[in-house]
Amino acid sequence: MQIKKSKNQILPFILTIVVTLLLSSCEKQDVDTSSSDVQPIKVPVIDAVLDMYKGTCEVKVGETENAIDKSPESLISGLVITLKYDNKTTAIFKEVEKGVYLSEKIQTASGKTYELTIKKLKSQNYIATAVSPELVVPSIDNVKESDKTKSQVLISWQDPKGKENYYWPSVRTNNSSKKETLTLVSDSGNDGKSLSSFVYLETKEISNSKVELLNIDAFTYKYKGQILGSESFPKSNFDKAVNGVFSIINYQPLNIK
Amino acid sequence: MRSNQQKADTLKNINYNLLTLRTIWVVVLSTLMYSESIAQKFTVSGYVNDAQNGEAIAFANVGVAGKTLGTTTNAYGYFSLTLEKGTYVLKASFLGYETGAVDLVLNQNQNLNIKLSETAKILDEVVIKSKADNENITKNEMGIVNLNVKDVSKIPVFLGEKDIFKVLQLTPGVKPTYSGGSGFYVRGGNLDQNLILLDEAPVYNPSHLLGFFSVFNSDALKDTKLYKGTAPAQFGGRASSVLDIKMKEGNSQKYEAEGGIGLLSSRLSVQGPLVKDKSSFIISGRRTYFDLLAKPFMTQDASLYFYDLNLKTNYKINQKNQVFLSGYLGQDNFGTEGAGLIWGNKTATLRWTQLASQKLFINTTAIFSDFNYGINSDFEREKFGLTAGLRDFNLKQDFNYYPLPNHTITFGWNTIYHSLSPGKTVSKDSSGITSTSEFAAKAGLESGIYFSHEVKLSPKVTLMAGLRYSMFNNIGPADVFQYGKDQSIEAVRGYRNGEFYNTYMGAEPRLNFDWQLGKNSALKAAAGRNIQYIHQINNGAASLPIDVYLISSPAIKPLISDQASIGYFKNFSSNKYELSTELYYKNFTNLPDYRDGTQVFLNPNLDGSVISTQGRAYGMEFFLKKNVGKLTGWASYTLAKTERQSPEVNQGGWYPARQDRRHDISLVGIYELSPKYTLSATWVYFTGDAVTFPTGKFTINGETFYHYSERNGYRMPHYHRADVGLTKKLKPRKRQERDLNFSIYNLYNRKNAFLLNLRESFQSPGNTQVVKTYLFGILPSVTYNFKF
Repeated sequence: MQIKKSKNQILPFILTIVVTLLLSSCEKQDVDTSSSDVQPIKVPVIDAVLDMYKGTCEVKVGETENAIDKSPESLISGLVITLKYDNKTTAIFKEVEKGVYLSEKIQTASGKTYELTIKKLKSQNYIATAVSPELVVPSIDNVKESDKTKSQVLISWQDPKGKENYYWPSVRTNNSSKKETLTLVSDSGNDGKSLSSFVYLETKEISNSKVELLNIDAFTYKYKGQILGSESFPKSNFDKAVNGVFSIINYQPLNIK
Repeated sequence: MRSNQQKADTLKNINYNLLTLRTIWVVVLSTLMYSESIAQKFTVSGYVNDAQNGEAIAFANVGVAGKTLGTTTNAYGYFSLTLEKGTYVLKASFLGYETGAVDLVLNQNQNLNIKLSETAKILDEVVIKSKADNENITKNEMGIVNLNVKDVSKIPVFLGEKDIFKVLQLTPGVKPTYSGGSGFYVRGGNLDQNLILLDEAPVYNPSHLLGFFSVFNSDALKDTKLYKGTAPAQFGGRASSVLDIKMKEGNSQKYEAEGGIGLLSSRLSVQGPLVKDKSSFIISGRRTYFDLLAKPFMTQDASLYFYDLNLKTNYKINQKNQVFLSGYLGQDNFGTEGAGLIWGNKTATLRWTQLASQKLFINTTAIFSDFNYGINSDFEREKFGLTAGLRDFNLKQDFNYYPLPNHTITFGWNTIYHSLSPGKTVSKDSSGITSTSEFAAKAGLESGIYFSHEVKLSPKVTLMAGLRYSMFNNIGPADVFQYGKDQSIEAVRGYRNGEFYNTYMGAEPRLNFDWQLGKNSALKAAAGRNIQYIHQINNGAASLPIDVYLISSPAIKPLISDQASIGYFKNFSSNKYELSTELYYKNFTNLPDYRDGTQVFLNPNLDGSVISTQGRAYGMEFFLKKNVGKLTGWASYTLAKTERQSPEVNQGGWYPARQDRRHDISLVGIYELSPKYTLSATWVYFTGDAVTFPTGKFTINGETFYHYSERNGYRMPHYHRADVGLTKKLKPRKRQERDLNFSIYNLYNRKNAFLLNLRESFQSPGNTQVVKTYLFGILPSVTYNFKF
């Protein structure tokens, strides 16, 4: 079964919200959080992505900020980070800007386990492992305007049989790092079948955009589903409590036009 | 996989269960034989009925004038009193009725039906007793809300709809889930811990319009009794409360119709005799018409309505046998061209009451209950549909036995077959490929036997001791998963169709004690245990029809609640004022909760993510009521604490449950301005709900997420609201009684928070704002009611 997590989970709540909107209103509210016994604590944030297409691994390390007030971005400098594969260190990272570490020219292969280690972060080592996914290349079936400013792109692909696969259809515009995260697709119940999904983008950006069907590892799929879906502190694949996950993505960009 | 030892334990438990059953029957039969051996005593028995419409009056007092001998009618209006040969004056009384008195020469067993007339009929729907009584002192009851449906009509109503749930929420210990919502929490229990019965049939989702209205049309109802403390042993299956709602039986004397036309909906009830004094019926319907009114102004097809239909009929076969058939059908339909949501309940009750002897009343009931919902969407050429629900088949028998004056014995059994359909989906993708999938249905058999004995130990002391023994079996076909620590599936075992593969059982003792300290004061105490085998895993406070139901299984243990309470009751000024205070402590074991981050909806392995948590609730309730005079009403205050504990939440410490409300105040006043006008007002205040709020935020892939560390660590703003109502009695037209009710909900337009959300500030990127969603500002309504 193809699971559109966002749609299936959110639909009933959308209906609820529509009803309440008929009879409700919103306004800004000042909340006195000082009356609570809850003491905000700083939790490490690690956003690590091994990009198999680019052969790069970028790791951004920081801490949680205050929930409501604006606070300076708390990125952490001076860390030592390594990436291992088959128990051999395959990459060493250098800090390219404050709190952002990059390693390039990494040789990657599908179905292998990679181990990322961040050393001496708050005096502790943080270790995560992830398995690299297959490469699945989609085709663009249809592009049409969905409203005055937006267009929808229908993509389809053949799911490899006999393996669990997880997909994150997305669009990258002007080489930005921001990607759409609304839809995650699992091949559960549809193993080996033809799958399809829509991605959306600004019509005027079509010529500068590329479709990327990110094939992601199982843990990343689960983590992203949880962080989008509930008031929770999802379990990361790091061995200690952090926000964020070490994910491996595999894809091949496609020009829309 | 179950080991041989587990099987042996199960067999041992079943043997023990059978032994317990046998012991109870020996006690029952011994009591029967003992009572029959007493000589020179005769029994007077019969029904207490309303003189105007013939409806049976439940829980009316029947006693001998000048003596302390007496009894109470059962839930079906039947009484039996065994007295020594002699001459007596038999009196029957009930709230809102003139006391009836009958001369009785008792020299043989006799049938005697007593008819009571309503008091102060000219005051119509406001029950003002001409002679206040002290039933609240003398009855061995505590932790109970008795709601006369007539009380509902003069209280300010929300959008013109009379709703018994909204009135219950104004009593101590019963709190709304959210502003304007009809769902309620009882003494710290969750929503699914309320057993809501309509003519003995459970109603699983008692809400219309996503929780803003209850499914119960007041015009069709007779009595409503909420047990928030220790319920009698005949009730079981829920951990916190029992709401026992009885439908009217239909006027057996004459035809009558009543109804109302409001801004949101209209309703109509018709009742009357089919065969006078032998058979009657009532049919009652209600439908909203928001969709019909809005249709001319809408650009696309949309449906937004609910309806419900109540039916009941009865037939008196002879003096000893009577059958009743009642049913309910209700549905909500809400959707647009792109998406829709539909849900509804159906219930049916077939009941046979039988007088096996003057001392033995038997009630045999077959019950059907069904709740289902469906979702559909048609989004960007992709279609999706889901249907799910649950269904109960219930068979039960209740025996009321009256061996001696001041002794009432009740016993019986019931068995319920639960069938859950977690979901069937049909999806069609953009290329036209249709796929269906169905989550495995689940079935269970819930059974119980009970015995209860109420005895008046002395004129001042009454004791009721009861024991319920319940058992639950999971029934195949099923694939039962064994989960590892990380919720991964470690093993699976399949069971055949009809195979019993898991059993839980347990004793549920109940005890009630009433000690009258004087004519106008009493000290009462109660204690009891309830075991719950069916659970609702919900996503929040709203009564969403998509809440997921689970039955106990090898992975989900039964929920056990133990409650003890003590109360002091005092009446003043010739029973003009009632004052009561109750202290309670409730402990929950095996409260099901789901792990953080669990996908609740459409998760075939949800039971692997359910964890057993602990809970406790304790508090003090104050209630002051004025019964008599031009001004009537009540004030209630609850001081309470409700907490939960789970090793996986908040570092294993106790944390507040969502419904933890420290202070809760309700004021209700009804003032009879003149015979024509009645003014009413309510004011409520309670501490804001405990909510989970982020303690931090972070950015991943350019998107901002929030970090949550403490569950329910913050509070919503305090809630308060005032409503007023004015009822004008219109000049009667022929035989028609009419009135107009004007209500203003949220008189001072308080913007009580329904939701708090976080969003990035548009003006100042990087800054986060808290945005409050509030429901219903000031909201006037008018309803025209008629009866003829």
